[in-house]
Amino acid sequence: MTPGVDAALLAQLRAVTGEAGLISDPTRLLSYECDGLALLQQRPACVVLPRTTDECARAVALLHRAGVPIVGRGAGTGLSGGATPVEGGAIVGLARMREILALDVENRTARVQAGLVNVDLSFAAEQHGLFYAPDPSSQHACTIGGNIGENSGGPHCFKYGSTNRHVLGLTIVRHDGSVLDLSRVQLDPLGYDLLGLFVGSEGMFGIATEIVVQLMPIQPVVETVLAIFKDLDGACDSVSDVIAAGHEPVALEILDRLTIEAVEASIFAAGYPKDAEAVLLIECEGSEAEVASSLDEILAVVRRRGAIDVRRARNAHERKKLWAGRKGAFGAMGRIAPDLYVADVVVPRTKLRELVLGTTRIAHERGLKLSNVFHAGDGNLHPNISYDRRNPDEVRRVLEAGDEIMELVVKAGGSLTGEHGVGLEKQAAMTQVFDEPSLRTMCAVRDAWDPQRRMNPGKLIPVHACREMRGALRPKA
Amino acid sequence: MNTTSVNAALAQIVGAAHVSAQRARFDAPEAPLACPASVGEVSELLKLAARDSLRVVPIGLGSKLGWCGAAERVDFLLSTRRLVGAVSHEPADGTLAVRAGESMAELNERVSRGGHRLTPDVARPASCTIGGVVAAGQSGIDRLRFGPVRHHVLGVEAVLGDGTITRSGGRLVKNVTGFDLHRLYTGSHGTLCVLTEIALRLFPAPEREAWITLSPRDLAHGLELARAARALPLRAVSITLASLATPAGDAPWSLHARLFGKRAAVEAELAALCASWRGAQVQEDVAARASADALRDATSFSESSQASLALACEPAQLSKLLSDVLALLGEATWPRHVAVQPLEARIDLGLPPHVAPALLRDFARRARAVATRHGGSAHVRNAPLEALNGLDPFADELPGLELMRELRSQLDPRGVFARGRFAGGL
Repeated sequence: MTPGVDAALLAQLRAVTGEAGLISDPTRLLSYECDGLALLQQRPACVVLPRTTDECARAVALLHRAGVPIVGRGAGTGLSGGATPVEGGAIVGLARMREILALDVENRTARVQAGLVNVDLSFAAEQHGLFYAPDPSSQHACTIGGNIGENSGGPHCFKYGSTNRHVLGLTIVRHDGSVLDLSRVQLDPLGYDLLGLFVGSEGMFGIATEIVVQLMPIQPVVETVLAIFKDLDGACDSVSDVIAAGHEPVALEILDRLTIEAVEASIFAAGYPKDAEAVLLIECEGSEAEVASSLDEILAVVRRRGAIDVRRARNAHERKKLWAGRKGAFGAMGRIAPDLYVADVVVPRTKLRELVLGTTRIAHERGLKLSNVFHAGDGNLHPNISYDRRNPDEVRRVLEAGDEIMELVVKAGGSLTGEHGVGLEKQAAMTQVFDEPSLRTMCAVRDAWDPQRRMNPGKLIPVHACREMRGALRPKA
Repeated sequence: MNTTSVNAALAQIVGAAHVSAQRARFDAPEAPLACPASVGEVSELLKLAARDSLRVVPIGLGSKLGWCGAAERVDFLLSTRRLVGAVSHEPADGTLAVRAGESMAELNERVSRGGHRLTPDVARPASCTIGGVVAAGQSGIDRLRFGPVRHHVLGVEAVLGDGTITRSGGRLVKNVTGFDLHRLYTGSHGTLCVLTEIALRLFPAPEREAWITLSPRDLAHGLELARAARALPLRAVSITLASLATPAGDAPWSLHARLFGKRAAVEAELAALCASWRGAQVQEDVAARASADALRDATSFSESSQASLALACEPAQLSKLLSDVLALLGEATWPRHVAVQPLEARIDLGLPPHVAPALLRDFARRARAVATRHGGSAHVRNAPLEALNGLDPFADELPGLELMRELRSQLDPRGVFARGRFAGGL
C-alpha cells in the first residue's frame, strides 16, 4: 500500500461507497491493471465504485485531500491506455452507475448515469422510435461516460458525428470533489463551451457522472449492402469516389481478407465470402426515395471500381448479421493470435489506398500479421497487428510498427487518433502533430481544470521528455 | 500610451496604410484599428499589446460587435480582414482550411467552385468573415439540417494574447488528437485568442432546391404544421414561422420550409410535405434560393440600429415561451418582428428602434425571466449600451463561471483581450 492510500483513507472511502464500492484486495485489483491496451499494466492502490454523483464527489474529495492521483474508468474497453492506472493511484470506476435517469421522448433527449452501457441506451430508446448514434464496436460493453472521455466514434458516426455532437449536458465531479453542473440543456453554450471542451479530454478534466444526450429518430428505411472485391484497392478507391461524388451514406466500412477469415471462423460469422480480398459494408438510411437513389448511385461507383458482387440485406435479421460481423471483428482476431494491437489513425479520404498499402508494408517488413477493418468513410484506419505478448521481440516489432504507422500517416496529412484517444499509447507521438506552444496551451487549459494535475496524470500530453514516455510503453519484464 | 503613439506603434508592424479607426461597438468611441496581413503580424501586434499593457478587441468585419457588451477599456482593434485565401482546399475530401478574414460570401463562392456548400448559412454574408462567425459561435438558418457551427470546425490556428501561435484539431473530418481547444475558442467572442485560420467540413452542393410557403390560420396552426413536418420522412434545411410587421401594422404568420439535396430525395420530400401542408406554394432552384436568402436576411434582425433578442428553450417548452413572449410584446405595444424556428425551439425577436433604453432593458429582463422559467435563455443583441446598464447581454447566471475565468486567466494572463464584453464580464 502506498503512503497516499492508507487504512484510514480506505475506511473513509468505504464509509462513502459501502463495502461493495471499494476494492483494495490485491487479487481483485488485478482486473483493473489495464484497459484494452494490455501492453501496459499497473496495479492501482484501490478502486472506488460510487453509485451516485454525490458518492463520487465525496470519494474524489477524500482522494484529493490525501493527494492521491485519480484515474476515471468506464468499462475499461479503451485501446489507448487512457484508463491505465498510475502507481499509488485510485481508479474511480463507473460500473455501479448504470441508470437511465430520464428519457424525454418529446425533446428527444436522455439523462443517464455515466456508467450506462452504450447499447443499453439505444435498446431503451428503440421503443420510442429513437436511438443513440455513437456506436463504438465495443458498444455492448463500453459506457457512455467512457465515450465522453474519449469522444468515441463508431461506424454510424460517419453521418451522425462522434460523441461530442450528441452531448447536451454534463454533471462533472472536478479534481477536488466539487460538482460542476452543466446539465441544463441549452441550444448554445452560455459563456465558453465547457461541454465541448470536456468531451474527449480523456479523464484529465474531471469525471462525468451524469450525461444528457441527444437521441435521433430511427429512419423509416435502412438498406445495408455488402460489396465484395477481389482486391483491397478497389474497396478503398470506391470509398474515395463515393466521398468525392458527394454521397452521404450512414456508414462505409471496409474489412480485408484476414479480417474476413477471422470473422467467418468465429461466432460472429456474417456470411462474408471467404475468397474475397475485401468487403465494403455500406448503409444508407432515410426516406425510401432518398435511400433508393443514393444506393443506386453508390453501387454504380463500387461496380466501376471492381466490385464483383453486391449483396443486399433482405431483412433486419440479415442486416444485424452483417453488422455483427463488423462489430465482432476485433474479438474474432483472437483466432489469429492471443493479442491484438489496434492502431487508430485518420487519413485524408483521398489517400485511403496509398496509406492502407503503406501500413501493410510497415507490418510485413517486420514479419507481423496485419489485418484491416476500418471506418473508411471517415478515413479512420484501424491497422490491427496480431501478436503474442509473451514474445518480447514480437512486442518490440509491434511497437516499432505502430510508431512508423503514425509517422507515415502524419506525414501524409493525417492524424494520430480518430476515436480511441491518445492516452499513453500515442503520447510521445503528439509532438509529431503539435508544436511545443500548442502543447503548452493544452497544459494551460488542463491547469485551469486541475491545477495539481492529479486527474489521470501522465496521459495525452508529453510533458516530460519523450524518451521517458516511450519507456512507459515497454511491457514489464 | 495615447492614441497617437498607439497608431504609430501599430503602423510599424502593419504599415500606416493599414491603420485606421473604428468603433469597438456601434455606440462606443472610435479606437485605432490595425489590419495585419499575416499571422506573424497578428503575433507582433499582440506582443506589442502584452508588452505595453494595451487592451485589444479582435474583429473580422465588425458585424457582430453589438452582440457583446462594453469593454472595460479598448486601446486598439485588430481585424483579420486582410487574412484571406485558402490554406488548403480538398474538394475530394470535403475539407477546407481558410484564413480567418475571408468573408462568408467569398468563402461560399470558393466552396461552390469545388461542388460543395458551406454551413453556416448566415445573413448578409458579404459583411462578415468566417473568423467572426466562428468567434461568435454564429450558427445559420440551416441549423436544423446541419447543426451548430461548432460541430463543423475541424481545427484552428489561433494566436494567444502573448503572441504565441498555436494550433488545435486538424483538417480531417474525424480526429480526437489532443484537447479540442477549437471548441473552447468557438463562441468565445475574441476573449481568448485571435483566430487566424479555420478548417471546416464541407457538404455536397444540392442538386435540387425547393422553397415551400404556407399561410397558416394562426400561430397555433403554424406550430402544428411544423410539428407535423417533424414526423415526416424529410430532412428540411430550415423551417421558419415568421411574422414581420410592416408600417401598416402586424403581419399574419407565414410558414416556410427549405429542402435541398439529391434530386430524387427532394422530390419525395416535397411530395410528403405538400401532402401535409395543403395549399402550400412551391418555388424551385434559383427562385427557391432567392426566397430563402431573403427571409434569412429579413429575420436575422442584425442591423446595428435594431436591437434584437435571441431566445431558445427545449422544444417541448416552445409554445409556452412563445406565447409568453408575444404577450410581453403586446403589453409593450411594439410591432411584431418575430421569426421562430419551431423544430430547434429558437425565437428571434426584432425590437423597435428608437425605444427608450430603460424600456428596452425592462423588456429584455422580463423576456429573459420568461425564458429562464421555461428552461431557456435570452441573448440581447445590438442593444445600446445605455440599455445594457446592469444587464449582461448573454445571461444572468453562468454555470461554471469561475472555471471560465480560470481558463481565461490561464490563456491570457496579461489580460490583453479587452475584458467585460462577454458573458459574466469575461
